[in-house]
Amino acid sequence: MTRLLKVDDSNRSDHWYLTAEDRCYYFYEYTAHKGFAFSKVNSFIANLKKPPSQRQEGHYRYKGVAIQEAAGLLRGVLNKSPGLLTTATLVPIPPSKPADHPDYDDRMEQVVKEACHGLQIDARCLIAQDQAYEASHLQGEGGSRIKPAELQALYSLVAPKPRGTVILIDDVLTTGAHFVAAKAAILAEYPAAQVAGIFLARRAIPAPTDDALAIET
Amino acid sequence: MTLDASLTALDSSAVSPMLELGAYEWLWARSEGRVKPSFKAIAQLFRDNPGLLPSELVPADEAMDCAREVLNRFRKREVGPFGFRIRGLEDYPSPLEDAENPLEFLYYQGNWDLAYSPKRVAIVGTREPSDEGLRRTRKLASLLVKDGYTVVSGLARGVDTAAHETAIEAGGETIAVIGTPLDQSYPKENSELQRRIARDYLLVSQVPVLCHAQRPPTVNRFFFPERNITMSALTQATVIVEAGETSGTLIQARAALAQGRKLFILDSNFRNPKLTWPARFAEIGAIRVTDFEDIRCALNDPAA
Repeated sequence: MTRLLKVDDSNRSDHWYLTAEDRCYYFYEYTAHKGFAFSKVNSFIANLKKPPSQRQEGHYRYKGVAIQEAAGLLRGVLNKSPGLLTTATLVPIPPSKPADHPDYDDRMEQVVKEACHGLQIDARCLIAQDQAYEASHLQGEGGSRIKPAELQALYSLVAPKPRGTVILIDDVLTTGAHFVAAKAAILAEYPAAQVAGIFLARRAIPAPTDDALAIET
Repeated sequence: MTLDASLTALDSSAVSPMLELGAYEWLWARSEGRVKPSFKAIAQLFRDNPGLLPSELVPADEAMDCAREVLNRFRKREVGPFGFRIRGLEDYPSPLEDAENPLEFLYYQGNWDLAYSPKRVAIVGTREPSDEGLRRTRKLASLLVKDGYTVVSGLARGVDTAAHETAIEAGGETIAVIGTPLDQSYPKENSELQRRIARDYLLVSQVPVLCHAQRPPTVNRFFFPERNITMSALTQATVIVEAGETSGTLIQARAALAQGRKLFILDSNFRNPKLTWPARFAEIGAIRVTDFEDIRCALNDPAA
Protein backbone atom coordinates (compact mmCIF):
# COMPACT_ATOMS: atom_id res chain seq x y z
CA MET A 1 0.00 0.00 0.00
CA THR A 2 1.19 3.50 -0.76
CA ARG A 3 2.10 5.10 2.54
CA LEU A 4 0.94 8.46 3.68
CA LEU A 5 3.70 10.98 4.44
CA LYS A 6 3.66 14.05 6.67
CA VAL A 7 4.48 17.62 5.96
CA ASP A 8 7.04 18.33 8.68
CA ASP A 9 9.95 20.66 9.44
CA SER A 10 12.01 19.09 6.65
CA ASN A 11 9.66 20.05 3.83
CA ARG A 12 7.17 22.64 5.09
CA SER A 13 9.13 25.55 3.62
CA ASP A 14 8.13 24.35 0.13
CA HIS A 15 4.55 25.38 1.05
CA TRP A 16 4.90 28.88 2.35
CA TYR A 17 1.41 29.45 3.76
CA LEU A 18 1.62 26.40 6.02
CA THR A 19 2.70 26.72 9.64
CA ALA A 20 3.73 24.08 12.17
CA GLU A 21 0.08 24.12 13.37
CA ASP A 22 -1.14 22.73 10.05
CA ARG A 23 -1.49 18.97 9.79
CA CYS A 24 -1.00 17.95 6.21
CA TYR A 25 -0.35 14.57 4.68
CA TYR A 26 0.44 13.42 1.16
CA PHE A 27 1.11 10.29 -0.88
CA TYR A 28 3.49 11.42 -3.59
CA GLU A 29 6.08 14.07 -4.13
CA TYR A 30 7.09 15.60 -7.41
CA THR A 31 8.96 18.43 -9.03
CA ALA A 32 7.63 19.94 -12.24
CA HIS A 33 10.12 22.62 -13.19
CA LYS A 34 9.50 22.17 -16.88
CA GLY A 35 5.95 20.94 -16.84
CA PHE A 36 4.86 17.37 -16.35
CA ALA A 37 7.41 15.41 -18.25
CA PHE A 38 8.69 12.05 -17.16
CA SER A 39 7.78 10.53 -13.82
CA LYS A 40 4.78 8.34 -13.06
CA VAL A 41 3.58 10.77 -10.42
CA ASN A 42 3.79 13.71 -12.80
CA SER A 43 1.65 11.99 -15.39
CA PHE A 44 -0.84 10.87 -12.73
CA ILE A 45 -1.32 14.50 -11.66
CA ALA A 46 -1.37 15.79 -15.23
CA ASN A 47 -4.08 13.25 -16.12
CA LEU A 48 -6.12 14.12 -13.06
CA LYS A 49 -6.02 17.80 -13.97
CA LYS A 50 -7.04 17.46 -17.60
CA PRO A 51 -9.48 20.33 -18.16
CA PRO A 52 -13.10 19.41 -18.88
CA SER A 53 -12.87 21.44 -22.11
CA GLN A 54 -10.87 18.47 -23.48
CA ARG A 55 -13.74 16.09 -22.77
CA GLN A 56 -14.12 15.15 -26.43
CA GLU A 57 -10.47 14.20 -26.87
CA GLY A 58 -9.34 10.58 -26.65
CA HIS A 59 -6.74 11.14 -23.93
CA TYR A 60 -9.43 12.50 -21.58
CA ARG A 61 -10.27 8.96 -20.50
CA TYR A 62 -7.00 8.95 -18.51
CA LYS A 63 -8.61 11.48 -16.22
CA GLY A 64 -11.11 8.83 -15.16
CA VAL A 65 -8.30 6.35 -14.58
CA ALA A 66 -6.47 8.89 -12.41
CA ILE A 67 -9.63 9.60 -10.39
CA GLN A 68 -9.99 5.88 -9.69
CA GLU A 69 -6.35 5.63 -8.63
CA ALA A 70 -6.71 8.64 -6.37
CA ALA A 71 -9.84 7.16 -4.79
CA GLY A 72 -7.91 3.93 -4.16
CA LEU A 73 -5.20 5.83 -2.29
CA LEU A 74 -7.73 7.56 -0.08
CA ARG A 75 -9.66 4.36 0.55
CA GLY A 76 -6.41 2.81 1.76
CA VAL A 77 -6.16 5.49 4.45
CA LEU A 78 -9.75 4.90 5.58
CA ASN A 79 -9.10 1.18 5.79
CA LYS A 80 -6.00 1.76 7.86
CA SER A 81 -7.55 4.34 10.19
CA PRO A 82 -11.14 3.08 10.54
CA GLY A 83 -11.73 5.43 13.49
CA LEU A 84 -12.13 8.22 10.94
CA LEU A 85 -15.35 6.62 9.66
CA THR A 86 -17.22 7.66 12.80
CA THR A 87 -15.35 10.78 13.90
CA ALA A 88 -14.43 12.63 10.71
CA THR A 89 -16.06 14.56 7.90
CA LEU A 90 -14.23 14.26 4.58
CA VAL A 91 -14.37 17.43 2.52
CA PRO A 92 -13.08 18.02 -1.00
CA ILE A 93 -11.46 21.44 -1.49
CA PRO A 94 -13.79 23.31 -3.87
CA PRO A 95 -12.73 23.62 -7.49
CA SER A 96 -11.56 26.99 -8.78
CA LYS A 97 -14.65 27.43 -11.03
CA PRO A 98 -18.29 27.33 -9.87
CA ALA A 99 -20.73 24.73 -11.23
CA ASP A 100 -22.08 26.93 -14.03
CA HIS A 101 -18.63 27.61 -15.49
CA PRO A 102 -17.58 25.68 -18.66
CA ASP A 103 -14.29 24.70 -16.99
CA TYR A 104 -15.96 23.52 -13.78
CA ASP A 105 -14.02 20.48 -12.60
CA ASP A 106 -15.37 18.49 -9.66
CA ARG A 107 -12.62 15.85 -9.81
CA MET A 108 -11.87 15.98 -6.07
CA GLU A 109 -15.55 15.55 -5.24
CA GLN A 110 -15.54 12.48 -7.49
CA VAL A 111 -12.39 11.15 -5.81
CA VAL A 112 -13.91 11.52 -2.34
CA LYS A 113 -17.23 10.01 -3.40
CA GLU A 114 -15.52 7.04 -5.03
CA ALA A 115 -13.18 6.49 -2.05
CA CYS A 116 -16.13 6.45 0.38
CA HIS A 117 -18.38 4.30 -1.79
CA GLY A 118 -20.30 1.82 0.38
CA LEU A 119 -18.89 3.23 3.64
CA GLN A 120 -20.89 4.87 6.41
CA ILE A 121 -18.93 8.09 6.54
CA ASP A 122 -19.76 11.76 6.43
CA ALA A 123 -18.16 12.87 3.17
CA ARG A 124 -19.48 15.97 1.42
CA CYS A 125 -18.86 19.43 -0.01
CA LEU A 126 -18.88 21.35 3.24
CA ILE A 127 -17.33 24.35 1.56
CA ALA A 128 -19.10 26.17 -1.26
CA GLN A 129 -17.47 28.68 -3.52
CA ASP A 130 -19.81 30.97 -5.39
CA GLN A 131 -17.44 32.91 -7.55
CA ALA A 132 -14.75 31.93 -10.04
CA TYR A 133 -11.12 32.94 -9.75
CA GLU A 134 -8.28 32.11 -12.09
CA ALA A 135 -6.90 28.63 -11.39
CA SER A 136 -3.59 29.29 -9.72
CA HIS A 137 -1.67 27.05 -12.11
CA LEU A 138 -2.38 29.69 -14.72
CA GLN A 139 -0.70 32.33 -12.60
CA GLY A 140 2.82 32.88 -11.33
CA GLU A 141 3.92 31.58 -7.96
CA GLY A 142 4.43 35.12 -6.74
CA GLY A 143 2.23 38.18 -6.42
CA SER A 144 -0.50 37.30 -8.88
CA ARG A 145 -1.37 34.12 -7.01
CA ILE A 146 -4.52 34.33 -4.92
CA LYS A 147 -3.92 34.73 -1.18
CA PRO A 148 -5.63 32.66 1.55
CA ALA A 149 -7.62 35.62 2.88
CA GLU A 150 -8.98 36.41 -0.61
CA LEU A 151 -9.93 32.79 -1.08
CA GLN A 152 -11.57 32.56 2.31
CA ALA A 153 -13.79 35.48 1.35
CA LEU A 154 -15.14 33.37 -1.54
CA TYR A 155 -15.92 30.39 0.69
CA SER A 156 -19.14 29.73 2.59
CA LEU A 157 -20.03 26.68 4.66
CA VAL A 158 -22.88 24.33 3.84
CA ALA A 159 -24.97 22.91 6.75
CA PRO A 160 -25.09 20.65 8.69
CA LYS A 161 -22.29 20.95 11.22
CA PRO A 162 -19.33 18.67 10.46
CA ARG A 163 -17.99 16.07 12.87
CA GLY A 164 -15.19 16.92 15.28
CA THR A 165 -12.45 16.16 12.78
CA VAL A 166 -12.56 17.63 9.30
CA ILE A 167 -10.23 16.22 6.68
CA LEU A 168 -9.80 18.41 3.63
CA ILE A 169 -8.93 16.50 0.47
CA ASP A 170 -7.09 18.06 -2.46
CA ASP A 171 -4.94 16.87 -5.32
CA VAL A 172 -1.79 18.95 -5.09
CA LEU A 173 -0.23 20.84 -2.21
CA THR A 174 1.67 23.81 -3.64
CA THR A 175 1.68 27.01 -1.59
CA GLY A 176 -0.93 25.71 0.84
CA ALA A 177 -3.24 28.71 0.18
CA HIS A 178 -6.36 26.63 -0.43
CA PHE A 179 -5.85 24.50 2.64
CA VAL A 180 -5.21 27.50 4.87
CA ALA A 181 -8.26 29.36 3.50
CA ALA A 182 -10.56 26.35 3.87
CA LYS A 183 -9.30 25.62 7.36
CA ALA A 184 -9.83 29.24 8.41
CA ALA A 185 -13.35 29.23 6.96
CA ILE A 186 -14.23 26.11 8.97
CA LEU A 187 -12.66 27.35 12.20
CA ALA A 188 -14.46 30.69 11.89
CA GLU A 189 -17.75 28.87 12.19
CA TYR A 190 -16.72 25.82 14.25
CA PRO A 191 -13.76 26.87 16.42
CA ALA A 192 -13.55 23.46 18.13
CA ALA A 193 -13.10 21.51 14.88
CA GLN A 194 -9.80 19.72 14.25
CA VAL A 195 -8.83 20.24 10.64
CA ALA A 196 -6.25 18.19 8.70
CA GLY A 197 -5.43 17.91 5.00
CA ILE A 198 -4.71 14.91 2.78
CA PHE A 199 -3.16 15.62 -0.60
CA LEU A 200 -2.47 13.21 -3.44
CA ALA A 201 0.89 14.87 -4.01
CA ARG A 202 2.98 17.71 -2.78
CA ARG A 203 5.12 19.86 -5.01
CA ALA A 204 8.66 19.64 -3.68
CA ILE A 205 11.09 22.46 -4.41
CA PRO A 206 9.40 25.41 -6.11
CA ALA A 207 10.74 25.97 -9.61
CA PRO A 208 13.09 28.97 -9.73
CA THR A 209 12.44 29.97 -13.32
CA ASP A 210 9.28 28.31 -14.58
CA ASP A 211 6.94 29.65 -11.96
CA ALA A 212 4.14 29.94 -14.51
CA LEU A 213 4.10 26.15 -14.60
CA ALA A 214 3.50 25.73 -10.91
CA ILE A 215 0.25 23.91 -10.47
CA GLU A 216 -2.65 24.09 -8.12
CA THR A 217 -6.36 24.20 -8.68
CA MET B 1 -4.54 21.09 21.56
CA THR B 2 -5.11 17.39 22.12
CA LEU B 3 -5.86 15.48 19.00
CA ASP B 4 -8.92 13.48 18.46
CA ALA B 5 -8.05 9.74 18.70
CA SER B 6 -8.74 8.98 15.06
CA LEU B 7 -6.55 11.87 13.95
CA THR B 8 -3.79 10.62 16.25
CA ALA B 9 -4.08 7.21 14.63
CA LEU B 10 -3.84 8.77 11.18
CA ASP B 11 -0.84 10.81 12.26
CA SER B 12 1.05 7.87 13.69
CA SER B 13 0.44 5.77 10.58
CA ALA B 14 2.07 8.45 8.40
CA VAL B 15 5.78 8.48 7.63
CA SER B 16 7.72 11.56 8.74
CA PRO B 17 10.35 12.36 6.11
CA MET B 18 12.30 14.37 8.69
CA LEU B 19 12.46 11.41 11.04
CA GLU B 20 13.71 9.16 8.20
CA LEU B 21 16.36 11.69 7.23
CA GLY B 22 17.55 11.85 10.82
CA ALA B 23 17.49 8.09 11.25
CA TYR B 24 19.60 7.59 8.14
CA GLU B 25 22.11 10.18 9.33
CA TRP B 26 22.14 8.50 12.76
CA LEU B 27 23.08 5.15 11.22
CA TRP B 28 26.16 6.77 9.71
CA ALA B 29 27.21 9.16 12.46
CA ARG B 30 25.74 8.23 15.84
CA SER B 31 25.31 4.48 16.07
CA GLU B 32 28.46 4.16 18.24
CA GLY B 33 29.69 1.08 16.43
CA ARG B 34 26.35 -0.71 16.35
CA VAL B 35 26.18 -0.17 12.59
CA LYS B 36 29.35 -0.04 10.51
CA PRO B 37 29.18 3.25 8.63
CA SER B 38 29.37 2.04 5.03
CA PHE B 39 26.93 1.72 2.15
CA LYS B 40 27.52 -2.02 2.19
CA ALA B 41 26.78 -2.46 5.91
CA ILE B 42 23.71 -0.22 5.76
CA ALA B 43 22.36 -2.04 2.71
CA GLN B 44 22.93 -5.30 4.62
CA LEU B 45 21.05 -3.93 7.62
CA PHE B 46 17.99 -3.37 5.43
CA ARG B 47 18.37 -6.75 3.72
CA ASP B 48 18.23 -8.26 7.21
CA ASN B 49 15.18 -6.14 8.07
CA PRO B 50 13.11 -6.21 4.89
CA GLY B 51 10.34 -3.65 4.62
CA LEU B 52 11.57 -1.51 7.50
CA LEU B 53 12.33 2.18 7.21
CA PRO B 54 15.38 3.78 8.88
CA SER B 55 13.16 5.22 11.65
CA GLU B 56 12.12 1.72 12.66
CA LEU B 57 15.72 0.85 13.55
CA VAL B 58 16.79 4.03 15.32
CA PRO B 59 15.76 5.79 18.58
CA ALA B 60 13.30 8.49 17.49
CA ASP B 61 14.56 11.34 19.70
CA GLU B 62 18.15 10.83 18.56
CA ALA B 63 17.02 10.63 14.93
CA MET B 64 15.15 13.93 15.30
CA ASP B 65 18.26 15.53 16.83
CA CYS B 66 20.29 14.40 13.82
CA ALA B 67 17.68 15.72 11.39
CA ARG B 68 17.59 19.11 13.12
CA GLU B 69 21.38 19.27 12.94
CA VAL B 70 21.30 18.62 9.18
CA LEU B 71 18.57 21.20 8.59
CA ASN B 72 20.43 23.81 10.66
CA ARG B 73 23.64 23.10 8.86
CA PHE B 74 21.98 23.42 5.46
CA ARG B 75 20.28 26.65 6.51
CA LYS B 76 23.53 28.17 7.80
CA ARG B 77 25.42 27.15 4.71
CA GLU B 78 22.62 28.45 2.45
CA VAL B 79 22.08 25.18 0.63
CA GLY B 80 18.64 26.28 -0.59
CA PRO B 81 15.66 24.07 -1.34
CA PHE B 82 16.45 20.37 -1.28
CA GLY B 83 14.61 17.08 -1.18
CA PHE B 84 15.45 13.46 -0.50
CA ARG B 85 14.41 9.98 -1.49
CA ILE B 86 13.89 7.03 0.83
CA ARG B 87 14.11 3.45 -0.34
CA GLY B 88 10.86 1.55 0.13
CA LEU B 89 8.68 4.61 -0.43
CA GLU B 90 7.08 5.85 -3.63
CA ASP B 91 9.29 8.01 -5.83
CA TYR B 92 12.47 6.06 -5.04
CA PRO B 93 14.02 5.50 -8.48
CA SER B 94 13.77 1.80 -9.22
CA PRO B 95 17.00 1.66 -11.34
CA LEU B 96 18.96 2.22 -8.12
CA GLU B 97 17.78 -1.20 -6.95
CA ASP B 98 20.19 -2.70 -9.50
CA ALA B 99 23.20 -1.62 -7.46
CA GLU B 100 24.84 -4.35 -5.40
CA ASN B 101 24.14 -2.32 -2.27
CA PRO B 102 21.14 -0.15 -3.08
CA LEU B 103 21.17 3.29 -1.52
CA GLU B 104 18.79 3.59 1.39
CA PHE B 105 18.57 7.34 1.10
CA LEU B 106 19.73 10.16 -1.15
CA TYR B 107 19.55 13.94 -1.15
CA TYR B 108 18.77 15.99 -4.22
CA GLN B 109 18.32 19.55 -5.40
CA GLY B 110 16.62 20.88 -8.51
CA ASN B 111 14.30 19.10 -10.85
CA TRP B 112 13.85 15.54 -9.56
CA ASP B 113 11.79 14.69 -12.62
CA LEU B 114 15.05 14.43 -14.62
CA ALA B 115 15.83 11.20 -12.78
CA TYR B 116 12.99 9.75 -14.84
CA SER B 117 13.98 11.26 -18.16
CA PRO B 118 13.71 8.28 -20.50
CA LYS B 119 17.26 8.38 -21.91
CA ARG B 120 20.17 8.86 -19.53
CA VAL B 121 23.85 8.32 -20.30
CA ALA B 122 26.84 8.91 -18.04
CA ILE B 123 30.01 10.45 -19.46
CA VAL B 124 33.01 9.92 -17.20
CA GLY B 125 36.77 10.02 -17.26
CA THR B 126 39.94 11.42 -15.84
CA ARG B 127 40.32 14.70 -13.94
CA GLU B 128 43.31 15.48 -16.17
CA PRO B 129 42.22 14.77 -19.71
CA SER B 130 44.29 15.46 -22.82
CA ASP B 131 43.11 18.18 -25.20
CA GLU B 132 41.83 15.41 -27.44
CA GLY B 133 39.97 13.89 -24.50
CA LEU B 134 38.28 17.19 -23.71
CA ARG B 135 37.34 17.69 -27.35
CA ARG B 136 35.86 14.17 -27.49
CA THR B 137 33.93 14.77 -24.27
CA ARG B 138 32.36 17.94 -25.65
CA LYS B 139 31.48 16.35 -28.96
CA LEU B 140 29.97 13.31 -27.29
CA ALA B 141 27.91 15.38 -24.84
CA SER B 142 26.50 17.62 -27.57
CA LEU B 143 25.61 14.65 -29.79
CA LEU B 144 23.89 12.91 -26.88
CA VAL B 145 21.91 16.08 -26.13
CA LYS B 146 20.91 16.30 -29.77
CA ASP B 147 19.57 12.74 -29.51
CA GLY B 148 17.54 13.69 -26.45
CA TYR B 149 19.76 12.12 -23.80
CA THR B 150 20.21 13.54 -20.33
CA VAL B 151 23.96 13.75 -19.68
CA VAL B 152 24.94 12.39 -16.27
CA SER B 153 28.34 12.93 -14.68
CA GLY B 154 30.14 13.45 -11.38
CA LEU B 155 31.01 17.16 -11.35
CA ALA B 156 34.73 16.40 -10.95
CA ARG B 157 37.43 18.40 -12.68
CA GLY B 158 38.23 17.44 -16.29
CA VAL B 159 35.92 15.16 -18.27
CA ASP B 160 32.99 15.51 -15.84
CA THR B 161 33.04 19.31 -15.91
CA ALA B 162 33.26 19.39 -19.71
CA ALA B 163 30.35 16.94 -19.98
CA HIS B 164 28.05 19.01 -17.74
CA GLU B 165 29.03 22.34 -19.29
CA THR B 166 28.54 21.11 -22.83
CA ALA B 167 25.15 19.59 -22.04
CA ILE B 168 24.01 22.91 -20.60
CA GLU B 169 25.46 24.98 -23.47
CA ALA B 170 23.78 22.66 -25.96
CA GLY B 171 20.41 23.33 -24.30
CA GLY B 172 20.16 19.81 -22.93
CA GLU B 173 19.53 18.33 -19.51
CA THR B 174 22.14 17.18 -17.05
CA ILE B 175 22.38 15.34 -13.72
CA ALA B 176 25.39 15.63 -11.40
CA VAL B 177 25.98 12.85 -8.87
CA ILE B 178 28.45 14.29 -6.39
CA GLY B 179 30.80 12.75 -3.85
CA THR B 180 30.30 15.47 -1.25
CA PRO B 181 27.22 16.44 0.81
CA LEU B 182 24.91 19.08 -0.68
CA ASP B 183 26.50 21.81 1.44
CA GLN B 184 29.95 21.32 -0.08
CA SER B 185 31.48 21.22 -3.50
CA TYR B 186 34.62 19.69 -4.88
CA PRO B 187 36.62 20.98 -6.59
CA LYS B 188 35.96 24.48 -5.27
CA GLU B 189 36.12 26.00 -8.75
CA ASN B 190 33.01 24.00 -9.64
CA SER B 191 30.87 25.48 -6.89
CA GLU B 192 29.15 27.87 -9.31
CA LEU B 193 28.43 25.04 -11.76
CA GLN B 194 27.10 22.96 -8.85
CA ARG B 195 24.80 25.80 -7.81
CA ARG B 196 23.53 26.11 -11.36
CA ILE B 197 22.87 22.38 -11.67
CA ALA B 198 21.19 22.37 -8.24
CA ARG B 199 18.88 25.16 -9.34
CA ASP B 200 18.06 24.39 -12.98
CA TYR B 201 18.91 20.69 -13.47
CA LEU B 202 19.37 17.88 -10.97
CA LEU B 203 22.04 17.43 -8.30
CA VAL B 204 22.17 14.12 -6.41
CA SER B 205 24.20 13.32 -3.29
CA GLN B 206 24.21 10.11 -1.34
CA VAL B 207 26.78 11.40 1.15
CA PRO B 208 25.57 11.52 4.78
CA VAL B 209 25.99 15.07 6.02
CA LEU B 210 26.87 14.61 9.71
CA CYS B 211 29.22 11.70 9.11
CA HIS B 212 31.06 13.64 6.42
CA ALA B 213 31.40 16.62 8.74
CA GLN B 214 33.07 14.58 11.48
CA ARG B 215 35.50 12.61 9.31
CA PRO B 216 38.87 13.74 7.96
CA PRO B 217 39.25 14.32 4.19
CA THR B 218 41.45 11.21 3.90
CA VAL B 219 38.43 9.08 4.81
CA ASN B 220 35.83 11.22 3.04
CA ARG B 221 37.53 10.72 -0.31
CA PHE B 222 36.08 7.19 -0.36
CA PHE B 223 32.69 8.74 -1.04
CA PHE B 224 33.82 9.67 -4.55
CA PRO B 225 34.04 6.14 -6.01
CA GLU B 226 30.78 5.25 -4.20
CA ARG B 227 28.95 7.91 -6.17
CA ASN B 228 30.27 6.35 -9.42
CA ILE B 229 28.27 3.22 -8.57
CA THR B 230 25.15 5.35 -8.15
CA MET B 231 25.84 7.24 -11.36
CA SER B 232 25.97 3.98 -13.24
CA ALA B 233 22.77 2.66 -11.67
CA LEU B 234 20.95 5.88 -12.49
CA THR B 235 21.77 5.58 -16.20
CA GLN B 236 21.31 3.08 -18.99
CA ALA B 237 24.91 3.35 -20.15
CA THR B 238 28.30 4.75 -19.19
CA VAL B 239 30.84 6.11 -21.67
CA ILE B 240 34.47 6.30 -20.61
CA VAL B 241 36.28 9.00 -22.52
CA GLU B 242 39.75 8.72 -21.02
CA ALA B 243 41.01 7.07 -17.84
CA GLY B 244 44.30 6.02 -16.27
CA GLU B 245 45.12 2.60 -14.86
CA THR B 246 44.06 3.47 -11.31
CA SER B 247 41.26 5.89 -12.10
CA GLY B 248 38.08 5.95 -10.00
CA THR B 249 36.32 5.81 -13.34
CA LEU B 250 37.10 2.10 -13.44
CA ILE B 251 34.89 1.61 -10.36
CA GLN B 252 32.04 2.85 -12.51
CA ALA B 253 33.09 0.55 -15.36
CA ARG B 254 32.86 -2.46 -13.07
CA ALA B 255 29.56 -1.31 -11.57
CA ALA B 256 28.03 -0.70 -15.00
CA LEU B 257 28.69 -4.26 -16.16
CA ALA B 258 27.62 -5.74 -12.81
CA GLN B 259 24.35 -3.78 -12.97
CA GLY B 260 23.62 -4.94 -16.53
CA ARG B 261 24.28 -1.48 -17.99
CA LYS B 262 26.05 -0.85 -21.27
CA LEU B 263 29.67 0.23 -20.98
CA PHE B 264 31.28 2.10 -23.87
CA ILE B 265 35.02 2.72 -24.04
CA LEU B 266 36.34 5.18 -26.61
CA ASP B 267 38.74 3.57 -29.07
CA SER B 268 41.62 5.91 -28.20
CA ASN B 269 41.98 4.14 -24.84
CA PHE B 270 42.60 0.83 -26.61
CA ARG B 271 45.26 2.42 -28.77
CA ASN B 272 47.16 3.72 -25.74
CA PRO B 273 49.90 1.08 -25.10
CA LYS B 274 50.24 2.17 -21.46
CA LEU B 275 46.70 1.03 -20.62
CA THR B 276 45.67 -2.53 -19.83
CA TRP B 277 42.15 -1.86 -18.51
CA PRO B 278 40.40 -1.31 -21.87
CA ALA B 279 41.13 -4.86 -23.08
CA ARG B 280 40.25 -6.26 -19.67
CA PHE B 281 36.81 -4.63 -19.69
CA ALA B 282 36.22 -5.44 -23.37
CA GLU B 283 36.66 -9.11 -22.48
CA ILE B 284 33.89 -8.97 -19.93
CA GLY B 285 31.35 -7.05 -22.00
CA ALA B 286 32.43 -3.46 -22.60
CA ILE B 287 31.81 -2.09 -26.10
CA ARG B 288 34.72 -0.50 -27.97
CA VAL B 289 33.47 2.50 -29.94
CA THR B 290 35.17 4.47 -32.68
CA ASP B 291 32.45 7.01 -33.37
CA PHE B 292 29.10 8.22 -32.12
CA GLU B 293 27.22 5.99 -34.54
CA ASP B 294 28.58 2.93 -32.64
CA ILE B 295 27.13 4.29 -29.40
CA ARG B 296 23.86 5.28 -30.99
CA CYS B 297 23.39 1.84 -32.59
CA ALA B 298 24.15 -0.02 -29.37
CA LEU B 299 21.87 2.24 -27.32
CA ASN B 300 19.03 1.72 -29.76
CA ASP B 301 19.52 -2.04 -29.88
CA PRO B 302 17.89 -3.56 -26.81
CA ALA B 303 19.63 -6.89 -27.41
CA ALA B 304 23.15 -5.48 -27.69
